[in-house]
Amino acid sequence: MTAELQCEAVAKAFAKRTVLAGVDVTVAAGTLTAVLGASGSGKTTLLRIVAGFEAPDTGRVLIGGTPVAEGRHRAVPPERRGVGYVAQEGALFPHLSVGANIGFGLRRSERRTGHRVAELLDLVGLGQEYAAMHPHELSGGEQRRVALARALAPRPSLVVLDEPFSGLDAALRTETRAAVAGALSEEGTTALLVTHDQAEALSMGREVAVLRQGAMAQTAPPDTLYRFPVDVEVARFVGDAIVLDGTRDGDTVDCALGRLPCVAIDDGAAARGGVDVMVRPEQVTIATAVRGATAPGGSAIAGAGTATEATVVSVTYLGAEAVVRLALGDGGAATARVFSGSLPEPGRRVTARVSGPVVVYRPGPR
Amino acid sequence: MAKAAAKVRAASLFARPNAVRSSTGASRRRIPRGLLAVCIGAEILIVAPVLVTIDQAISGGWHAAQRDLTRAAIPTLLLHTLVVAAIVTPLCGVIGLAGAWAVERTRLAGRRIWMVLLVAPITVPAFVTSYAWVSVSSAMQGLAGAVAVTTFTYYPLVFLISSAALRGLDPALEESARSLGSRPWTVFRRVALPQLRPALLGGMLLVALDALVEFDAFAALKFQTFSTDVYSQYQSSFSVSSAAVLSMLSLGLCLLLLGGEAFLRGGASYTRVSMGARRPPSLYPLGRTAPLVHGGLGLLATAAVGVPVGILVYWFTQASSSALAAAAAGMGYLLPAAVTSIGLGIGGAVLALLLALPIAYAITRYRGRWIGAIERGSYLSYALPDLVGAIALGYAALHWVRPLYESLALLVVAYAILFVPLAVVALRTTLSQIEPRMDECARSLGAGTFATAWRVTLPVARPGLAAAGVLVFAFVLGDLSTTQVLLPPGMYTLGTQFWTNSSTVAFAAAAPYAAVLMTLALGCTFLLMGKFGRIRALAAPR
Repeated sequence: MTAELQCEAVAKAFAKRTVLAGVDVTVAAGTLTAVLGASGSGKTTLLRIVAGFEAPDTGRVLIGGTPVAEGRHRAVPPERRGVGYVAQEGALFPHLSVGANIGFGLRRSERRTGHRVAELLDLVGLGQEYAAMHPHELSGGEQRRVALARALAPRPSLVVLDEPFSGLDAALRTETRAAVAGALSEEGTTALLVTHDQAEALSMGREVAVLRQGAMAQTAPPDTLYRFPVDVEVARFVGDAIVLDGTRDGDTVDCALGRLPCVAIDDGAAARGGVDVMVRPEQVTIATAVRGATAPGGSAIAGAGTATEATVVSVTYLGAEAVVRLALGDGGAATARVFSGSLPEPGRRVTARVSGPVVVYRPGPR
Repeated sequence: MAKAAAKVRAASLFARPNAVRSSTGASRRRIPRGLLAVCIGAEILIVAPVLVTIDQAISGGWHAAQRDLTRAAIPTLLLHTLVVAAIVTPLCGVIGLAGAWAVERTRLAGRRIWMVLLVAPITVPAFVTSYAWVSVSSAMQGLAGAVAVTTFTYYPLVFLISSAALRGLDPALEESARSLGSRPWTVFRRVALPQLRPALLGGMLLVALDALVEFDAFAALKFQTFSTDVYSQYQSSFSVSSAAVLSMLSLGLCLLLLGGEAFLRGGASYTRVSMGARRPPSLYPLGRTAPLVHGGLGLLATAAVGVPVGILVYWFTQASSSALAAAAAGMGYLLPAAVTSIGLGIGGAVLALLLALPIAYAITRYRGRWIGAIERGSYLSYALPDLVGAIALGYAALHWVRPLYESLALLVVAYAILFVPLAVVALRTTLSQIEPRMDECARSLGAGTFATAWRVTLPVARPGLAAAGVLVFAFVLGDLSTTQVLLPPGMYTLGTQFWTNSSTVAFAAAAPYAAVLMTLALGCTFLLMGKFGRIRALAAPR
């Protein structure tokens, strides 16, 4: 049932503007890959090419090893691809009940028995009473669930999801996301999800592919992507990042946050000499600089780098945690993401420590 | 500082605000071959009368054609035709658009009543309106009457199309403009009007084409244009080729108009991104202009609907007893005439829908060099004076499809061909508001092009289908010239009975037919009003 998706060097231009410039993605059978990109990065175009609504200019798309699109002229039409499509905002058929929407892609006999529809309502966590309702009676989150149920009903080998949670409020988003992830893994369907939301991509994808200006910047499991992004740009795109000048000496680097253990992702980063240092704000812990003691609000973690003196510039309270902006000794700036139990006030001198290795890159143009 | 700059640069690399998407997010692929074949089949039927007429014009020979075209009357006729079209088209554009804006966007008192009153004139047969005006004042014969009657009959086309387009606009656009400091008039001029342009031009094109070939009204008003001249040529000499040669001039004008509309519209497309209105738009207060707007619309409604209805009532009340007796004697014809008229109307509407559907579907869903040709080809049914088109169809039936000759079926075919542009416009207005993603979902669920149209697009567009059908039905009821040429001998309709009686000045006898026609017309108005340009939209989530 479920099948691997391969996109090989897929390229597409609209009116001579390149939207995709040779994209490779492989989604292993039964897994979900999230394509993360800003608006205009070409992610929706990639999805539409996989679904069959557009043909690539060059490159191939294979589903379960069978080519469904090869360049501009040899494309299997969408209705014969067996690719489920969950559109933005659902796009439910307004003239059909929820049950008829879900049953739309089923064969007549299957539609008549209604077993599959009941099964899918169950799968996406909606009660059987929903079958008789009409799309306009549903909330936004319910509409998305029905859209997914409709796409999954004909047991497609692959499902593509186009920003399926956009426009939902935070609580509903989390809940709907969990319901969708659960339904997809229960059906064991291969899925390609495109989104501009970092948290969504990192939380849902077995792998996350970062699409930048029509090309894949990096494809990796979420933790690898977050901890070891290929360059500073990707680092900043998938999360907050502190970037500092540093001088590398083998496995350590000297920077405004002290001497830190480092890892090089970028082959171009010199083993010794000037580098860009990328630190995640949650790697930074702070302690109020009381001589000889460690105050609550920061904790010294064994194995962390050396401590550095810093001044608190501002504190942004976020609830469970807070973002503390720091002025470093050399005039540089850093942010620390800390638990909000006890926060220093602005102007306070603190010591900052970095836990875990930092990532170094060849210095970028300033 | 340097880091901040680097951050900005990195961020700007990810966000490309001007990135090109496929123009509408819709899949506007090339038209599938099967659909193209169906469209071409429909177009061949639509263009058939034109081709037959061209053949007839050629068959008369060059000298005869030269003689027909250099008659002394020709420049006058040309002038009359062009002047009427040139006055009526912008007039209908302004009245229709202003009416649509007032009804859809201002705090007009009794908006729904105004909507009915403004749509109603389109369903009133032009020959009834003409007779009403002539009996008000004989000064209405000639240019003034021709302009008045054509304007009142056809401005609702612009009104219907523009108000449907206005309803489809995302209210957020106008709200944004207002929040940027634009006054209502500026919002109209700078935001709404540019987006209404394709709809407005489409409506005005229909009006102009109608004005060029109008016959029934002009004949009643004794106003000489090509159409009426063709009729007199045909009556005096029964020369098919002379009539055909004259029609070539109107064919030329029609092609010029189609080219002009294509030029003015440019690349503007009927397809919109927004999925119809999700929220009701905010309505502008009329303020001090309120009496003016209400008064203006009142005057319009009085002239367009009040006069025909008033005259009808007058005929009923003023008739002498002997006239009433004569009228009563003729009442036996009323029911059969009504049955024939309604039957023809339904037949014409159904067939016109069948012809228009593939065309409207293709032009709202696909792109490519065929699409422009398919769209403009459907307007060619307005290229000939009705009379000439009808004669051509009769000729074609006599020579190639004998069983159809002098049958009601042929008349139904003629109506369908004649009114197919109206059906296309009504369907296009609705179909273009349907979210293209919905089609794509259906396709990804295994439905092919035809299955998608049948199971998704058409059910969602049902109100639009109803509107298109009703519009054609009303125009069939209001047709006279095609009916008179092709109606099988011994049969009669409400229109022909009205014509027979009113031309013998037996107004009391004509009145019942007009009354039934008007009642049917107003019924059509009610059906049309709420449905034109509507889709079964998905309401916003709670």
